[in-house]
Amino acid sequence: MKLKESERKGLLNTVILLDSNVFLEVELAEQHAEACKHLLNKVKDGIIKSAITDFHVDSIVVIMENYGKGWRDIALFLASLLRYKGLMVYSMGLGSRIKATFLMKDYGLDYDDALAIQALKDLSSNTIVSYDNDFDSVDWVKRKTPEDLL
Amino acid sequence: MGGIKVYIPDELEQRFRKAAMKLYGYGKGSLSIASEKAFMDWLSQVSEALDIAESIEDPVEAIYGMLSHVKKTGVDLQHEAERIRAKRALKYRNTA
Repeated sequence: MKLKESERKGLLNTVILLDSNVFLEVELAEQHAEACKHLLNKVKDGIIKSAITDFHVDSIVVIMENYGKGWRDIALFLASLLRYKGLMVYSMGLGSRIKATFLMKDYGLDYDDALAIQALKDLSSNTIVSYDNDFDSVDWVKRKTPEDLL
Repeated sequence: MGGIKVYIPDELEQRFRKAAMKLYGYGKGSLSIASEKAFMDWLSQVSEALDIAESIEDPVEAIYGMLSHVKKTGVDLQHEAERIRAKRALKYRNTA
């Protein structure tokens, strides 16, 4: 579902949370790669302000390692995050992690997704960019796909 | 002492001023103290990786296709990360 112009402008002024799968789709270079690249280019230029949690960064690293990527590629990925003008890596403290467990209970989420929702709360945001429809069970969260933001 | 003039969103400015003053008082130096801490935090995050990060011309292109040999979706992989974590945790437990 494409966004209206006013919604798109609104997104430029708020921090949106990026899920791991946005970066993974670029690494996979499959059907969603172009939309994800388009979005990440906007983040790179600082047109879109965004955040990703340190936990979700680590999830990407775990996957890269599991599929044969060595330290050089992992270092490249991590260092590349520093080049995005509009990206903040948000560190999840123990307090946030504990609060996330209540979200697991309230919304039936797994820990991974609950952390993302808690990060949204911490960042005073309600928008996550993700292909994972598990977030749709949380009524106040707006899940967008990169294609929605094109 | 050097001086830097920066431009940040209004809301962030208000939150920053409020927090700085609550912590360091309502005097003149509060914003400088909080700013110095923020600058130091940021520098400590990036300084070790400056050389490698500087060599990356385009961060999006740099990662494009890194996992092109994997025939799964991003969401599948994300869920797989959870299973890998759990498996590793149990492995360490069994070897301990």
